[in-house]
Amino acid sequence: MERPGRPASLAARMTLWYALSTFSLVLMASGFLYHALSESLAHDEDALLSEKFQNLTVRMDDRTSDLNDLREFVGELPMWYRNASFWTRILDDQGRLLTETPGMSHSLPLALFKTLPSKNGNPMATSTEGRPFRIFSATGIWTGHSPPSRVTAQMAVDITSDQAILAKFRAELWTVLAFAILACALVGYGIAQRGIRPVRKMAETAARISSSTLYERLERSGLPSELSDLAGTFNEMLDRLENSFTRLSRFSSDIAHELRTPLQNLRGEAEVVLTKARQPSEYQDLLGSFLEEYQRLSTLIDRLLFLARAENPQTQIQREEVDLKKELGLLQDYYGPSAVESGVAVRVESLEGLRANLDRSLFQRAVGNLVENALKHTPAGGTVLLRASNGGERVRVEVADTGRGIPQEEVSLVFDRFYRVDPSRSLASGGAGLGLPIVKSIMELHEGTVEIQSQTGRGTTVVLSFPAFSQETGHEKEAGSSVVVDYSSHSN
Amino acid sequence: MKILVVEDELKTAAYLEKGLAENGYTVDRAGNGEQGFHLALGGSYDLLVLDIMLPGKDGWSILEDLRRLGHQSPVLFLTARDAVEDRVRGLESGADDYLVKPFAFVELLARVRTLLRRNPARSPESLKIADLELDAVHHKTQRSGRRIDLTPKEFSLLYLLASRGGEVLSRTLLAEKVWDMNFDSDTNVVDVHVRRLRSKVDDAFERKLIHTVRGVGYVLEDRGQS
Repeated sequence: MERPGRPASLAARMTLWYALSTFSLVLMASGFLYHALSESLAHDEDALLSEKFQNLTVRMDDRTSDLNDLREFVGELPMWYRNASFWTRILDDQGRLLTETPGMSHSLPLALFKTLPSKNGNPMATSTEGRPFRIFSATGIWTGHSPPSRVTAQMAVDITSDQAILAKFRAELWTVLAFAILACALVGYGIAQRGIRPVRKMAETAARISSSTLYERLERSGLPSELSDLAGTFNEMLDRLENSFTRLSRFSSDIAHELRTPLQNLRGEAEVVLTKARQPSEYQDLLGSFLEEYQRLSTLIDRLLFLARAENPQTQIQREEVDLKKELGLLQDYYGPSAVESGVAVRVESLEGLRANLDRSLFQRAVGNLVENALKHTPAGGTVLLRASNGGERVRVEVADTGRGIPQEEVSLVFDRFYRVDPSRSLASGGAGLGLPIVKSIMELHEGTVEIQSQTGRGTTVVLSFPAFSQETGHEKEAGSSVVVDYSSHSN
Repeated sequence: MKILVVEDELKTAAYLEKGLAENGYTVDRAGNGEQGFHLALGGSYDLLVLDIMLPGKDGWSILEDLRRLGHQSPVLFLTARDAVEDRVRGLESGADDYLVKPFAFVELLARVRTLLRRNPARSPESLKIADLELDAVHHKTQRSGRRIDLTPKEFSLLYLLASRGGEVLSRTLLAEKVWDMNFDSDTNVVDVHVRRLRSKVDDAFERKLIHTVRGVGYVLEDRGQS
């Protein structure tokens, strides 16, 4: 797996690829051009040889041609055609020398002409003096001889100057290639840097963003489309982070408030009572009040601990089979008198025999919290309805009240820890604000969901939905390993 | 009854000793594991109250060693760690009960009583405290001969308070035993139930039997004229 490249190494890779590919092109072009030139020159040389041979055969076709004619053809001196010396040797049908250009035996002996031509053209050979030649050998009929006999003509053209042209071209090409390597590298580098620049800029902006500058966002205008999408996604992530951060700060200050209030009471009450001697009963009252505040703090801490534990992915719950109608009935019995005191009725609606596999104490806690909330917010004359129903594999438990309702914009916020609809956080209108987060955690532990439907002035319905029987098996109450604390520490 | 308390936290050990002693038990204390273990070996205690987190020898190893050496006296573990693994481990190692800190003292007291009870818990069919009479078979209640009509749950509540007469029962305990509610509900809910019960059982009579112990819970007992 490649490790993610920082902009620098990505630029280096791009530079390398650009440089290599452009350089390869230059290399291939050079090679092609050289080959073309080389072929062209060889072709001309072959053409010259063929032409000269043609001349010879024409002459030999003349009945009047005799040895002198041949000698004349071959020449006293090597003949110069276009700066290339030309040599000819003619052998009779027995391979004996008839005539040849003077000096040829020395410079271009018989042995050289043994090489057969290939399909690529006539072969090359080097003279005794070290000069390059293109050589040619063919047979023809000398009609001037009686009887007409077959002769072999060996021809050679000096290709030194052609070779020089090629050599010069080669040298020039090497120079071009050398410059090309540098140029391609530089151009490649330039292109890569240019391409990388928006990424670098993004990285710089991102590096600057910290918890104190979470409001900053990446600039999207002017970015190429692919990076623009990336920047957009990044900005959305920053939105979420900023949001979480704000909620966390608010959480910290809320937790401080909730902890301070009971502490304030404890301290204040003690200070006041201790200022002078009191009756024993006053001290008893004070201590009793202390116990109440301790209970408040202790409950708060337990609830926070519960929430923290519930977040741990390792946490599992103890499920058992419960009859929902019965469970809701128990809750109705429990909360009934409290409801009556507030002038509110509690009703249960449930199908018979509706069963599910749940952690019983967590379920009670969730529904209990909801009922307590409902009772706090429903005025006299209202109703709190507990309803259980099923749909396929899932079970629905609803707690519906005819109370004050929750404003639409706050519905998603109420699941935040410590969130209170009442901004003064007064004790009369609610608790610490952990009830709904706990309900949500409990539902998550049961692989379920919780939803709120509310209308201000009409009422609120909280819907719990969860699978009736979990896919997990084997977490019956007796098995004891890695199970979340059941909230009460009573075991008998 | 002799109880040994092994707890290194001074204030905790002190109030446990004081509280248990005032409830009629003879209490010895040890502040670390080694000391506790040696006292337990020699002292023939009826009950051991052991903190788990102790300097030196910890609660687990004290228990294991005692059991290995054949000591059968009941053990009640105390700890600030409440992971159920610990609880299960404790029970498997031979402890008889387990309490998580912070606990209500009445809780501890109740469990100590249960562990020390020689006979299995009795559920008497009839109870009489002062002029209050309960018939558990027919679910009938009367005071001074006058019949009192109670709902089934109200009867359960009264019966629980009466059968544990003199013992302060916390709201949490009441919620669990009477209504099978096993979570930390708003304690006011229990208060309302008790208020109703009182209105039927105490209001019409001069001698009040159901008392509130502020911050702790409720107790049913005859305290003479109120």
